[in-house]
Amino acid sequence: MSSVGSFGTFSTARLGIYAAQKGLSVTGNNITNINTPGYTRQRLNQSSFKSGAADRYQSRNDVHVGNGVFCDSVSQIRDPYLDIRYRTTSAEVGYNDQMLYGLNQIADILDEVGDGKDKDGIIHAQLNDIYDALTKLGVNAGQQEYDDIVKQKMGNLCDLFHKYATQLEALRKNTEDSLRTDINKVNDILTGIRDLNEAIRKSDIHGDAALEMRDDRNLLIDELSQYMKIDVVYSMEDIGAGRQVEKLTIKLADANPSTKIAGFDGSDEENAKNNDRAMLVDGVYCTQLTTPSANTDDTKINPDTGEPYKYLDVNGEPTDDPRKANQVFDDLYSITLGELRDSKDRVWKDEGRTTTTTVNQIPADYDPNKQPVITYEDGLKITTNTTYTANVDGTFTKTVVVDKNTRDIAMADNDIYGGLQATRELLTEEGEYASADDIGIDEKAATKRGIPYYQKSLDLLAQNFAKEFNKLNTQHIKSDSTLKAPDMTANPPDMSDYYDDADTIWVKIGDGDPKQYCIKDGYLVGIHDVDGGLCVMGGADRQYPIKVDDLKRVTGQDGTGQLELPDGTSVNGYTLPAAGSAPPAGVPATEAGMAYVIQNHGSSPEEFQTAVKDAMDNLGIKPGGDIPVVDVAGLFSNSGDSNDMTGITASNISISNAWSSQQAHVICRPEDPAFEKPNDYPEVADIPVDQTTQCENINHMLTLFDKKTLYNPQDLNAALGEANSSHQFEGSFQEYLNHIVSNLGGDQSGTDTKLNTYYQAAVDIDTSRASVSAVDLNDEAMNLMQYSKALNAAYRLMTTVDEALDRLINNTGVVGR
Amino acid sequence: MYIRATTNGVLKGYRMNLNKSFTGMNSARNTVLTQRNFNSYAEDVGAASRAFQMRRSLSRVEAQYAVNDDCLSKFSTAYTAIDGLKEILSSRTENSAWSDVLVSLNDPTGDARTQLGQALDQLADTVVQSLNHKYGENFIFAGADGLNVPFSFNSAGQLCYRNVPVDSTLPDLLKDSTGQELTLTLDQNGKFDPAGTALYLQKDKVQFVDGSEVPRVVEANGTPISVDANGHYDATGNGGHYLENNGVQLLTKDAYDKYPDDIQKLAFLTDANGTLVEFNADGSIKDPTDTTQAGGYYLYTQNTEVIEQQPYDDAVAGTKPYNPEVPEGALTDAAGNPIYAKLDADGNIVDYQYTYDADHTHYIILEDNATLTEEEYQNAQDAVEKLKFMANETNYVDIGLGMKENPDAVDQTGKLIGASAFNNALVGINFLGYGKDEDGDPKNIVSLLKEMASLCRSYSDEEWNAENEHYEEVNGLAKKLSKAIDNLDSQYVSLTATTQKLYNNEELLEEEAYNLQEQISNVEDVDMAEAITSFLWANYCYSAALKVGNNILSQSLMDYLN
Repeated sequence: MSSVGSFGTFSTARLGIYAAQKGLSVTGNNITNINTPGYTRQRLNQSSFKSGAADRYQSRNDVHVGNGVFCDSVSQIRDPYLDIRYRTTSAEVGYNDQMLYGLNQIADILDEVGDGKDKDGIIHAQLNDIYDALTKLGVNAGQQEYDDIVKQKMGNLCDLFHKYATQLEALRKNTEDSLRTDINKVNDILTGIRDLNEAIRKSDIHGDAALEMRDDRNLLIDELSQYMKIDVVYSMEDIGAGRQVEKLTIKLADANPSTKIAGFDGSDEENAKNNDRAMLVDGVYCTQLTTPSANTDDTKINPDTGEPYKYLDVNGEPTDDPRKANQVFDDLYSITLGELRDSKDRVWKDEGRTTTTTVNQIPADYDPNKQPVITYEDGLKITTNTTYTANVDGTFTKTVVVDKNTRDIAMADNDIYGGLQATRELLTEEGEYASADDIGIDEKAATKRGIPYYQKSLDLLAQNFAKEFNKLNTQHIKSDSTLKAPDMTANPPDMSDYYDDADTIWVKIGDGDPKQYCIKDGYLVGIHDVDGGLCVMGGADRQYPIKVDDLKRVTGQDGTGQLELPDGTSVNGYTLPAAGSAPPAGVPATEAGMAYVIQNHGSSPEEFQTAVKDAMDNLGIKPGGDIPVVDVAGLFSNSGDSNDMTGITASNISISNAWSSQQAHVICRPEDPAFEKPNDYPEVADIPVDQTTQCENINHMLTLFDKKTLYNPQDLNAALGEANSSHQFEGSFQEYLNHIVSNLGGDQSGTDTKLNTYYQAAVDIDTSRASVSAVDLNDEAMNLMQYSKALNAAYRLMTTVDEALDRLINNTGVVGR
Repeated sequence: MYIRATTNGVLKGYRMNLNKSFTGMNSARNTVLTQRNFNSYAEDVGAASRAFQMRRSLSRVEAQYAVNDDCLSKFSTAYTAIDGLKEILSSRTENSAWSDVLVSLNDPTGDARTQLGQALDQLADTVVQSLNHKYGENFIFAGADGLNVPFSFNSAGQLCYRNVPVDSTLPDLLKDSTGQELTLTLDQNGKFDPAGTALYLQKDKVQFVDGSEVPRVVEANGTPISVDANGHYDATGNGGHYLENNGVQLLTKDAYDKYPDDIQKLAFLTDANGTLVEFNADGSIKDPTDTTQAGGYYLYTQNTEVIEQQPYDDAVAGTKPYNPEVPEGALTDAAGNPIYAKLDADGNIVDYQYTYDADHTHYIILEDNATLTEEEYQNAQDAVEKLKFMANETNYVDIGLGMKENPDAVDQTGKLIGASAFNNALVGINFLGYGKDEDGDPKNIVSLLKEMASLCRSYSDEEWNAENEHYEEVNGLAKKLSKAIDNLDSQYVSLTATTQKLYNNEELLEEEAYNLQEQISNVEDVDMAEAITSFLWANYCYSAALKVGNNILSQSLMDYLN
């Protein structure tokens, strides 16, 4: 017979009441939190209370009965595997969602389907209008008003290019701002997770499961997973006295591990690989995403490390802390992970873990000079120092001291995969315009298209359009500047008007002393030589100077670049006279010293003589007189107030100053005296009569609209970076425009499909997750009933025991009272 | 493990599906509202590309239509102008050019000739004005120089087409025996001067007079008969003169007898004594001492001239020209020394010199305006070249014939393939004619009319019949005018055909535009019946999804707890 004590059952009843009440409380908590985002249903863990398992003086006839119920804990019901799957899919959803969003914004600018007055598009329609205006000009050649109409239409096209370029640039800036916002958001999330880790750890230490905080933390982790691919690891941390608490670690998951990275924080391959598994959160420590401004001045040395400072702060002062550095984006929008720090800004370290073992011999590959060995793992710098000390018994004690230190890590181009990466790709990917360096960083760079691709494509279209039309419309216009013919009486001759400091070369004729010449617009504009040597001059028709490219340049003794022109050198088909030789026949002696004028289209000496005489007559050149200078201008320039035809892009294409001020016009016929025909212009017989309404050149322009032009990424302005790909698109202007937007449409369509697929998968996984961890009213109702009944039963037990004891106490031994 | 369908899980799924249904309905509604199959490249890349391509083609066709219409209007105006011109020139009505020409040829008294000349003049001016018609801002018949008046008269009264005289012709220059153009160096007075200016010679204005030409003399046995200054026979051969053979004949005695006595001695050759000189039948002089010669013939010498022997002999020997006088107009130097030319068998100059010899016997006679400076010749060449160029001038426009350039083409206008574009140039001289024919007469209608008018006015006093050279000239010009009008007719037919071609092309372009519009519609526009049906179905599905939502939150055990 067991002895339980008279009032032991009260305890049992009391424990039952407590357990039932707790159960009801947990059920009520579940019910009230049914709509709380991220809430995981909880359950009460109970265990039976039994005292005294084996008494020394236990009787065999005694029966042990439990003493009630203990509430051990309240736990969450969650499937961590579903969490992993959800977060992996979430990264894909985040990437495609952000990418689609960006592509849609680009499409809002470039996609012209259904736009325009007659749904002919915008730039498409404008090109059609220009074609129409040119045909009208062709039929009405020579009439200024039709030239003005063409100019108006071309001007509208330039405005459209500007508008598109401006909008793309604004989009790029907005996307950049969005990336900055996302980075700040990610930092807030990381900080939030870290703080929650800290709070959960404290609660764990004090015995509280902190389930709600864990739910909040899971929500943050889910949100983080949309921005980058992460790896969540739960481990146990020893806090001493045999106690362990859970520790959460978040690492960067493998995104696109690249084996071609160079120069990343140690610049060895293994180091670069480990960037993929860098630590984001490690318990109460977390990193912060930064975009620090790099220090390029190697003379600024950090006295603590002995290495040059890595970054510059907002004041330009050097620092090694990426968080204190000036936060600016570089060309690749690179992200640097700062060191792991806790809420009190202390850096994560794990130092001085020593292990000692006894070994029989020192390994043959042990080299004390190579200690300590530094490796990188999971983004940590691990310093391992191994030493061997000899023991008396001939064995060795091997002592290994391991220090782990966190460090700031520059992320490689594809280390992050998710929404952040999508935004970065929108800002950096150039498609066919990617340089060799870009492809070295990301081998798929040539097939990814972001905002820069569309900007450069538009630039190439504008450049080619302007180039083709300028080629057919390069014409001479009178310049306001003049050159002075040098005064022969001066010694040395006055050369000041010829000098252009930026472009001077020395030309040595035969054995003569080098003479200084200046280059103007790529043409050699020379001075006379009192000895009767070479003198080339810029003529009014620009047909006389030598193009510098045609002369072979050799490096001279003073390094300025001398041109060796030995006697008899043939330049453009004309043999140069020797220095000091007699002037050509027919050239008046008094002017001989002034001009040996070289035609740049290859002439015979006889033609040259005639040309010299004609040039002198036409130009009326006398010593000290003015030499008229002409400029060349096309229809388009890179600025509305100049005639510079170089470096034209979509953002700067303009009607040239000459055309807008009526100095230049659309060349209708090739015999227009102002027309400077390109070298590959088709041969045209001499036209002996006036042809004021001839429109042959207009026809050439019209055929440009259907002409297959090569669009080579390497042709784009070199200042923007040399493209690696020479993949050429061959087609007309509108076909190329179609090609650009077709690429965009294809990318949109593909991304949309992927997004739908991944989103559907994410929803399915989330539903599965919810089926495990979400609150179901039916379940909770059953629990309610269950715990309610249990409570009632416990109450009943209490009253029963009370009644029994009452009878025992109050109603026993009253016989005979 | 059993599957729990939690409330929030169900709600999440429902929310996603409802949104999908709503999106589908929205898309269907957009299709109905926009009536388009797609509204962006992303929806259908291929169709969007095709649509823009077709719109581009449609825009081209519209531009080509406008050009064709413009050309058609221009050619129609040209057609009307030429039609009117034909009416003026060749109709049989009164006051037409042809009528005036006929009247002028049949006006023997010359009364109306002057007025007719004026009428022809005015008609010529009318012709010029007709061809100076404008269409818009451009002159129709100016070829590719539409901003300038095509026909005008220069200060010399010559009709010019774009400042080039329409009657320009390449002078036929005198060539030497090697076939090269011959030049003579003359001074400013037209005298030969080795240091003078080298001038070309117009072939038809240069004549040669053979200084070695001698008159025919009376011969006997191939030897000239020597006579004295009076024409009497000198048997010694020293008479110092010869008889010019102007139709002398040997007559028999019987014929001689028929002449009157007083004529006999004068008309027949006698010696100084008056004795008749007897000839043999073979023309030799009978030797009085030779009885074997039959004789019996006398030389009738009426109308013969006596010429000096020495010049004749010198000329025959080739040492001097027969006539010492330099022919009028013969080329000499400033001192009056003539130039003698050597000619080859074809009459071309081999060379020339001051000295007369057996080879160099010809005087060079230069008519007025026979010489040409190099510049004048070059100008004439240029003018002819210009006329030829203008006559073949082209000015291409695109009317939808597939204008294309070919890098291998040798087309003079560059790379454009002529057959792929339309030549919009109408050249006035092709209608009126230009240059001169082999007779040196103009081919141009206006020039012919002007010349005929000038002849009528200038020679109104003359007898106007076939014997009159000016009448013959006018008659000849009339025939040429008829030919020129035939050329005009031919050009008119060609113009008509071209205009008709433009009409046909216009219809083709209209058809092409229509087809393109239809194709665009097929690609872009949605079938409204299908679109509306799809929208109705999507709307129905959405409504059904909403109805499901009413029951999505079904009752739970909670509702049954008491």
